[in-house]
Amino acid sequence: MEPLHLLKTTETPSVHMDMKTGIVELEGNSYPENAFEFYQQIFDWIDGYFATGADQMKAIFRLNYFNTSSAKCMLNFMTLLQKYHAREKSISIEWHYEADDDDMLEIGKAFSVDFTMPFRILSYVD
Amino acid sequence: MTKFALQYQQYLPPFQAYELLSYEGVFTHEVVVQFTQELAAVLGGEKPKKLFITTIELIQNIKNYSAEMIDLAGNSPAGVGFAGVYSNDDEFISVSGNLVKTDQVERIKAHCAKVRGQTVQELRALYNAQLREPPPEGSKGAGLGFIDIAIKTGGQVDFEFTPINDDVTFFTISAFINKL
Repeated sequence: MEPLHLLKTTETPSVHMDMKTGIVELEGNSYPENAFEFYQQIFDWIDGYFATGADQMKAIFRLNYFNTSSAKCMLNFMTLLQKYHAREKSISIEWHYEADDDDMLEIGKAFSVDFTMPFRILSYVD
Repeated sequence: MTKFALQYQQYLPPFQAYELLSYEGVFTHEVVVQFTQELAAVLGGEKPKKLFITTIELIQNIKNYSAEMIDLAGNSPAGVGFAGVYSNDDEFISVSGNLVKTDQVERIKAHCAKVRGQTVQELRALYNAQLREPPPEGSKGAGLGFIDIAIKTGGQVDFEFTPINDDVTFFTISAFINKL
C-alpha cells in the first residue's frame, strides 16, 4: 500500500508514516474545516495498514495547537490504536508538549487515562 | 435570504485596549485561516497559543452557528459576524459577535452558565467528561468550545446578549487572555 504522507498546511498537521519502522508522526496545528473528515482518511489508512498483516505502530503527536473538534478526533485516533493493541499488535503513543505549554500537557494526561497501551508524555524545548 | 445589514461594532462592549485586527463579514473556512494568519502577522514574533486557539474557536463558532448564513457558490454555508482582537498592557482580548435566533438564547445561556464561576481544575474535569460524550444536538464540533475558551482564559470570559428583534439577538463573547 502507499505510505501515508500529508503535507502540513496552516490549519492541518503534517502526517507521515514510515512503513519500515511503523512510526506515524503528526506535527503542526489542527483546526481543519471538518476535523472528522480530515482524521477519517488517516483512520481508514491505519485500518488498511493493519489489514496487510502489519503488527506494529508507534504514533507520535507533536502539535502546536488544535481546536476542540480535533481534540475529539485525537481521542478517536487513540481509541482506534487501543483496539489494535487489544488484538496483540505492538502499539505505543508518544504525546509531545512544549515545555511551558500546560494545556498540551494536561490534555495529554487526560487522554492517557483511558488506555492500557504504552503512553508516554514528553516535553520538548522549541 | 434575510439580510440584517447591522453595524455590528455598535453592540460591542467598550474595551480599554487598542485594536490589533478586526473583520466583519462572512466567515468562510478560508477567512478563518486568513484571519489567524493576519493575527500572526500583526503579532510578529509573539505567538501566544492561548490567544490563537481561543480566536480560532470563536471564529469557527461564527462560521458554524451564526443565525445569518451565506451560501456562496463553491463553499459550504458560512456564518456572518464580527471578530476582533485587542491588546493592552496586561491582556489580549479576543471578541466574537454574531446573530443567534432569539428562541435559542435560553439554550445558549444554559451552555454559558456551565462554565461560569468554575476553577480551571473544574473546567478541565468538565472538558474531559464532555470529550467522551457524543456531541450535543445541533453541534458541528464536540460541544467543547465554551469550556475550552474558559480554560484558556482562566475563566475570564464574558457572554452578552443584546436583543435586536423578536427573531434575532446579538451574541458577543469576549475572552481575556493574560499576558505573562
